[in-house]
Amino acid sequence: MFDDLLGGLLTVLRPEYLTYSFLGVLLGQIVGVMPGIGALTAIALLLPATFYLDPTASLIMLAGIYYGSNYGGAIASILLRLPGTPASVVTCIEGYPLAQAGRAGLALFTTAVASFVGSILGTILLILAAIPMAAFALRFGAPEYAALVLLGLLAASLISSGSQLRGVAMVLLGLILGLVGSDVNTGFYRFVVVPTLADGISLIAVAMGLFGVAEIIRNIGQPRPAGLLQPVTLRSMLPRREELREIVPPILRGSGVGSAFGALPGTGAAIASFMAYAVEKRVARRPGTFGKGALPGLAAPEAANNAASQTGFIPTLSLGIPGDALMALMLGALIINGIVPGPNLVSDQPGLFWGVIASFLVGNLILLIINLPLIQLWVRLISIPYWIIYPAVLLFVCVGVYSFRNSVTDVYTTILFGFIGYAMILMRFEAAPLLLGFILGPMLEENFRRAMLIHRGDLTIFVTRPISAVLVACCVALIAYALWSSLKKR
Amino acid sequence: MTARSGIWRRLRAMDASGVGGAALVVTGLGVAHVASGYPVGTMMRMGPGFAPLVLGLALAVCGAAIMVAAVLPRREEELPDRGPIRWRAMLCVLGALAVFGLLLNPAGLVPASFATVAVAMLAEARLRPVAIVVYATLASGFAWLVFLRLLGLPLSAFGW
Repeated sequence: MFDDLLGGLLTVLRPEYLTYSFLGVLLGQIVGVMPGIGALTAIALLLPATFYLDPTASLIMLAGIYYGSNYGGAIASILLRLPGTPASVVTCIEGYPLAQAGRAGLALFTTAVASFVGSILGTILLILAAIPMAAFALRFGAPEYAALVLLGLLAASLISSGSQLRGVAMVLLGLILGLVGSDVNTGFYRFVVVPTLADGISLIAVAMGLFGVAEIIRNIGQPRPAGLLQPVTLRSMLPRREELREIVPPILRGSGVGSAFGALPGTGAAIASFMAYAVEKRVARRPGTFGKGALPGLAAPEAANNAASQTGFIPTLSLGIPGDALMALMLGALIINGIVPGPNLVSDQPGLFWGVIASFLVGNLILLIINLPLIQLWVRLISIPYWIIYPAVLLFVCVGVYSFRNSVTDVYTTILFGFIGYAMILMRFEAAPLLLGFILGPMLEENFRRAMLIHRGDLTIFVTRPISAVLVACCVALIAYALWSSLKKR
Repeated sequence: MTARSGIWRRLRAMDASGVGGAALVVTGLGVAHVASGYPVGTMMRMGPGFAPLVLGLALAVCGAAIMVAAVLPRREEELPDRGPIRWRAMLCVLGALAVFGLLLNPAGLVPASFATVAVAMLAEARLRPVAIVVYATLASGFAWLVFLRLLGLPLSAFGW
């Protein structure tokens, strides 16, 4: 395994791959810093471009955007209380008070170090867990895959920061949208209102509409909080010794929490950061300081969302089941390049697998290097007015959506989903569960139908096969927990 | 925040939940209705209509539950304010996409880019026409450079 990793490192250190890794993390850092454009939009935009790259380079670059955005997301959260990414919402709670107290430098240092340590620990876990997981997954049959996808969807809808009922509704809507097109088993056309839809609704159009376009509409004309854009000097970043001692245990706890939630299919970086904050608040010696700039409450969530971003690759790479919407887009990049994700990926494509994992180590190092010393540049980036950014992003959306399948219909589909996405924002429905349902839907249906066909329509096989029984038990436990917690609230 | 604005906020949020739930009920029933025309099959050999029928009905039930929950009293903290509906931004941004789709094939990438960016910029009320024309010109030049010259996408710069 060590040799494989070394081989992966040698791959990544080749100039071309190093360039793609650098481009990826740089773009991630930029979209993370700028509120109003997320990593999801950036990845969806670049997905058509991966046609022209080899799969390893594609995945290295897209993954770089993903974890890079976590570093950048903290900056606008701390300085302006504007979360650049969903995962950095929690960062505002403790980071902004610190900035108001003139300690922005310390807050930025803490998040950068926490992000780096979280990422590296998450990557180590990924290295240790991915191969055994893939070997284990080779024993999976259709019932196990169906149960696992179901567990992921339940986790995505029930473990969320919003309403659980709404989460379930969005997953169902996503599953339905995923059905559009010709049925894999029979070739029967379902809901094909225009001929282009025979291949299904374009993933890019859905992702761009729900996230990119809807976010732009929401952000236009929104007053930005007046600048606390004080100059941040490198000197102000250095922590005192007791402050350093204060942030080390939270970083480790946050990495643990984040790693666990990242590895679970259906939950990603955003939820991990919320959970890590909750844990920190509970174990804190001085809970009264929380909300007023407590360093542990800043360090733990940042470590958690980065760790989760890395361990999120465990189900993605070893099972072929994406943990969240971003992972699903990355799987899309593999599928575009003709690589079938699944437990065989590790043995079929060792170069890709180890190259991508090694790129995490390199990419995070690059991020740590470009993050703090260039802080002035990132701060200036935040102050670019939105009217300069959004028309250009919109143009990229148009060209990206169109060129994915050379289809004008997909551009109109994007309009529809932009409208739906904005309506969902107004009505407080979350878009992430919808997208996950849309992507996992075909996988769920195919495996469920296959399981029923093989086992003669007998539903009990889901509880008589041991692995599937454990997964079903997890589903039941999750539902029971959700019911219990919502009854307790009333 | 005055008490009055609090009440208004609450009413509007409830209203939105009700509308959202109703939309889901209609969507779910519509999907189930269409799917009932497809071959449903048996448990062992499921037809293409099986999944949409089940999912459509489940969505309708969920939507109904959301409507019920919207009427029940809730705690204030569950109603984050999403701000006013930005009609102008919505129309301009979605219109910009429509303009791109309509112009791309007849007119070509450069005019389509110009129009898209210009329409999108109308969303910001305070921008002056000169700024819009200048920025849209720059953006269409940039589109030509990046998408056609650098990436070599199979698109024509000018359609006529």
